[in-house]
Amino acid sequence: MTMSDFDSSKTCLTFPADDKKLRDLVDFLKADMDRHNVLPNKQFNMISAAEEVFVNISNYAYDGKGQVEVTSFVQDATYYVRFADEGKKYNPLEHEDPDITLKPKDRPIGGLGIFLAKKFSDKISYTYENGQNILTIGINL
Amino acid sequence: MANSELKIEQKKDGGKLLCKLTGWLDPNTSPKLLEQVDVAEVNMLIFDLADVEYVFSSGLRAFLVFQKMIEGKGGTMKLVNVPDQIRFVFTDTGLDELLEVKE
Repeated sequence: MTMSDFDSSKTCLTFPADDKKLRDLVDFLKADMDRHNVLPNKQFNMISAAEEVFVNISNYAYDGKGQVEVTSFVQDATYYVRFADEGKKYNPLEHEDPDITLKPKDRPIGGLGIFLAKKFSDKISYTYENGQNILTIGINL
Repeated sequence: MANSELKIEQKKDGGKLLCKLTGWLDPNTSPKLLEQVDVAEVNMLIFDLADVEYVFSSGLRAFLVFQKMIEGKGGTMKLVNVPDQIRFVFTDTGLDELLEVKE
């Protein structure tokens, strides 16, 4: 058994892609991070990043109703949360970061949420597999 | 259950309005902030964030809207008692340069 095998303990829950379910997502992540002894400041960072990803999916992935499958796991001393949706193919990481040297009033609208998700996470990646957008964010433990 | 609702306590003194916020500023609560805080006769707007647990991007946008409204009429706005972690949200987005954010 390798260390990463030893660390892996996946938890998975499916949520409606609806930002009204944000509290349920946060409750789920908090309980799960407590179980993994994630420090409070790291929990804050993960929740801040996860909120932006979840709200982005809720707002843009589907024209109608849809779902987001949220899976958490620990691997190589990193706590990961993986978001999978079957909505429109979209890689938010290709979205150009807002130019924070511009005065906010001169900045284009949009992109702030995913920018924060990048800032708050230590690792972030996107793949499109089997008709699913898969965005994974990680924080170092 | 997380303290995810937003409570807004407002205290008006002439043209000065102090809003003490408790809870989260998220996509569900930030519109409430914009609806309930009336800045029509306000030239100094202060938000006390001591008891705010999270400010997500929707909350940042709400503060920017207030900033524009207040700045547009020559007033000032500041955020006070901002917890360390939340201050990071402002500094990382560069918004601390536009908004007055204090510990």
